[in-house]
Amino acid sequence: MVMSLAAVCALASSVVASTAAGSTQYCVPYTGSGIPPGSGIPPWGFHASQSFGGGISGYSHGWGDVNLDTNWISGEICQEVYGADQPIRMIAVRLGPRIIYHSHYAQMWGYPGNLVIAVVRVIWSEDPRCRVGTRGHVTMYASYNGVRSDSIQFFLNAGCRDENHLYHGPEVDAQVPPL
Amino acid sequence: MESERRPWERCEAKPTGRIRDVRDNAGPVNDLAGLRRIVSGLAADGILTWVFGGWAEELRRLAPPRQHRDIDLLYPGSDFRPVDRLIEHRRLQAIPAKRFAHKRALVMNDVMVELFLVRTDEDGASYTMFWERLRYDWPRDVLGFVDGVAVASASALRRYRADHAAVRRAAAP
Repeated sequence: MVMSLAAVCALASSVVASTAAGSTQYCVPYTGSGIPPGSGIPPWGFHASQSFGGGISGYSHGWGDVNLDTNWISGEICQEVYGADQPIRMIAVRLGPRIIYHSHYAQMWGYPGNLVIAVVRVIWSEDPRCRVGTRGHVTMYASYNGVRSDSIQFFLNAGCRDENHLYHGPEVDAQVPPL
Repeated sequence: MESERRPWERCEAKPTGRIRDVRDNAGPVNDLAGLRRIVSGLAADGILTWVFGGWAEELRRLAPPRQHRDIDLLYPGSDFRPVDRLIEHRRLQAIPAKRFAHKRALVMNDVMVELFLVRTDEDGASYTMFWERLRYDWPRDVLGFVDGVAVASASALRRYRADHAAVRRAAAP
């Protein structure tokens, strides 16, 4: 599992919600380093940035609580996609409460690690085709044994499929239970 | 996706133009080691799958060991875009006649590998939409793990075995 701190991302954001002008704004600026929210190690959490090609990049992070014994998870994930002369597009999803699958012995990217697959629901969207309430799931994987090959992947349904991005590589830093 | 060779490519034979069947007595091409190579190879490219069908029944001890003609896998996703990207990127041999919204079929190491899409609905339940006609609901524990391999749960296997004929009758074109 990767426990090291990663460089501060210039586009780092936070899923800590604030209320402004009657609407809830997710993905507000976050300038911490390491795994959010920045004070200690959360039950689960990550931050990730990735180039998707075509001049488009993304940033995502999230954190929350989890109980593997009862297959229960909570928390939120925010994603910003930007570049290619397009306005920044933001979505946020809420996890849970159900964990579809979890394993301490998963194999992904050629390495063993912890894997959690959880149900998600879109709670904020700046993609006009991606409606709030749309369901899907997210795969969170953290390698261990000193290997850094964490990944986060969205699998959203219906009009949110354009937001289905994979984050994998050195710019992904994830804490996925069990510790 | 990286460009180095993947585990299933290490022992890849020259394309034969057809799918080898174990009944050809052409060699042990669909054994447990090969199954593990294919599943781990897909996972090495970010495609997480769970063993399903006859292989899963054997691994779950629901059926005695036997020869397997193909490999069935469950793929949790919202669609097959990641799989299609992998097929293109790795130049994998897809089987166009078995390409449906709920299924992709490939030939890997001369063995046919079928991936069934397992989606998540508005209530967080797992299901497969067969031929866009029939929604088949999986038990909540559909994704499991046994002997170091991600395998569909016994309850999912039993239920699908019991329902398989009805699913074919109701949904197949």
